[in-house]
Amino acid sequence: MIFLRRFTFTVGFLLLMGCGGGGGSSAEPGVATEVATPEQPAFSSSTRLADNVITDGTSIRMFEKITVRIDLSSVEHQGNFRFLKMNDRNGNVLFLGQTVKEGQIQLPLHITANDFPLNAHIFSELATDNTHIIEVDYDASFNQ
Amino acid sequence: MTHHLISKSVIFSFLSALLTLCTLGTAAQDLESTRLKDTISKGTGDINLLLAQGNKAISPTILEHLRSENNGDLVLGVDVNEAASGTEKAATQGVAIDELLLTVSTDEGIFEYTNFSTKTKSSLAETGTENRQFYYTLIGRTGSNNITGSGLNGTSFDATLRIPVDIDLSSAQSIRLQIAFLETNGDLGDPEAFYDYSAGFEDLALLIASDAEYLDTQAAGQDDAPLVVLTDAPASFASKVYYPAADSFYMVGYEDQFPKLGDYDFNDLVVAYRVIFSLNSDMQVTAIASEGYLVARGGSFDHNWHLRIALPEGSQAGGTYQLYAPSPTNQGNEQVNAIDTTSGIDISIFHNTTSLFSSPSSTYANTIWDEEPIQGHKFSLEITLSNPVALDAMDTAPFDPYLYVFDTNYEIHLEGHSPVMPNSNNIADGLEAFTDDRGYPFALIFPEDWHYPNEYVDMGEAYPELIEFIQSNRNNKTDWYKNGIPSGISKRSKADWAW
Repeated sequence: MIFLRRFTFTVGFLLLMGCGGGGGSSAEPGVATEVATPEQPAFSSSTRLADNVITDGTSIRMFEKITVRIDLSSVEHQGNFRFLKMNDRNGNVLFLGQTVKEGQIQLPLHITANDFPLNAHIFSELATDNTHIIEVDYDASFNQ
Repeated sequence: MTHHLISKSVIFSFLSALLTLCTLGTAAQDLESTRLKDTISKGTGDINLLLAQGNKAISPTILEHLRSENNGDLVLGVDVNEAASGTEKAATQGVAIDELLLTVSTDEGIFEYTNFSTKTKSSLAETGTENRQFYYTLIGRTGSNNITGSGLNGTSFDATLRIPVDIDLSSAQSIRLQIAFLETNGDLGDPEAFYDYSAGFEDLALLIASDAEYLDTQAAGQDDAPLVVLTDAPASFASKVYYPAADSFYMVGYEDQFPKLGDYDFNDLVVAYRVIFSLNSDMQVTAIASEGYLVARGGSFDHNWHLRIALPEGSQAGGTYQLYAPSPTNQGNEQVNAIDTTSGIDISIFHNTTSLFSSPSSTYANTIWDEEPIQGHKFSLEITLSNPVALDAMDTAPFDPYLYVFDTNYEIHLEGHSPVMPNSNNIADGLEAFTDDRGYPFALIFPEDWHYPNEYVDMGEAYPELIEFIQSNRNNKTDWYKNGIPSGISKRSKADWAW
């Protein structure tokens, strides 16, 4: 009988904010005549992008950069190898491979809010070593 | 009389021995790899090692020569032939071996062998379990192995399978190999999904030492396969981090009228791509791979599509990229191009998109709702870093997929990136940011299940929930891209463009 043990590890979760700024106008006076101006104010009843504007503090961006930190030291395995698989809620693999047995690793990932929760599977080459699963849940700071 | 008989007997024995030696010598001299008749089908095989393709008998003496030449091992070549699904594709496919039994029948009895090895292993869960353990794997790819001057000319054998045998096979009456591939727990995704088996067939061949060595050196498909542990170098790490995921692509859509406002259909060019970093044990990047497809072109401007991945200053790298034309055109199929990395990685992958990606029935490609769809080119690239770079020092996803527009001499990057081409108009005109007056970017990254809008359809019309997603600062309607108006978006999905 194989058991899966689901651990609630402390997972460092660092948002990197280098994915683009708020975005001011790119037009300079010399070419301003070539750039149409917005025809309607923000928050119109229309859903067309052309009828709305992106205001400060909002964004159309889907993906965000995050760094997941995983402390491997507390996982006790008897095997000589340690493997890590990180996947999203749909099973899409974000990281897969052999890792160090001890210490903390940091994985810079690039995901959407819909990809949560993420799961880190830590396993060895021995069937007697249970696969440890660390769940990384959605964090409200994701979209900041 | 007796003496005479003895003399005749001795002479006869001597001549027999001489004949045997001559026969063996000739056999050894003519020894070549031989494709077997029996194959592995649906994960199992019952293979007669004394029967070659075409129902030709193989002498046990030949097998003994092969065993001797391979230092006591029978070495089989395996043509890995798996269905392309998930991360299995033409460039890399794999199976795992569950068990194997070699049975040798001789006058002296029946000898059974169950020990074997291959060049690769992976830690896998069998179906019905979730814990993993090591299994030997066979990895390969579609296409010829380029073996020449051998019985395997023009074949596509990939991996080797070694079975130690400690008896002389010359007098064997039968030699049979029963083999079963591992039924992996595919529900777990990779690596199990990769190493599952499909219908096959996997061909087998008896190998001479030089062909075995050649296949081992080729290591077909190993670089792209997941969770590979080298049998001969188990300490060598092989980890990969995938952007956005192992089996997913970014979809990048452009508005190419920059700096003019566009029509917000974000289909002037649509490209699917992904990037994979290979890591060593210190979590340093040793290699970069990428692949992608031209998906749609809804603009009449001509472009070059670039993928730029910045490297830390002083980094050195080298590699190649290949461009593949979709059938049936086959124009420039599999062009191999060296990548100039003297100033980082900035590869112009899709050149002159209007001519490269043109529909016979339209000015555009795949953006008119009733237009006959066409497939676009695909690319793959591989870059090796001369000195590994710490993962946290590398450029970050989604990197810099940018467009150079010939008609305007402007380059168009994702929001937050800067122009990089010294001769484009961006810097000269002071247009170094890539958002318009309404705050929208000119290039956007979407998940692969986003369907680009049809021609002239504003993305907010095609996806009515998008505005709420934006105005809630991305807290509401996070799956807006899954709820498009069918008449406003392309019907084409990944299965249509990822050929």
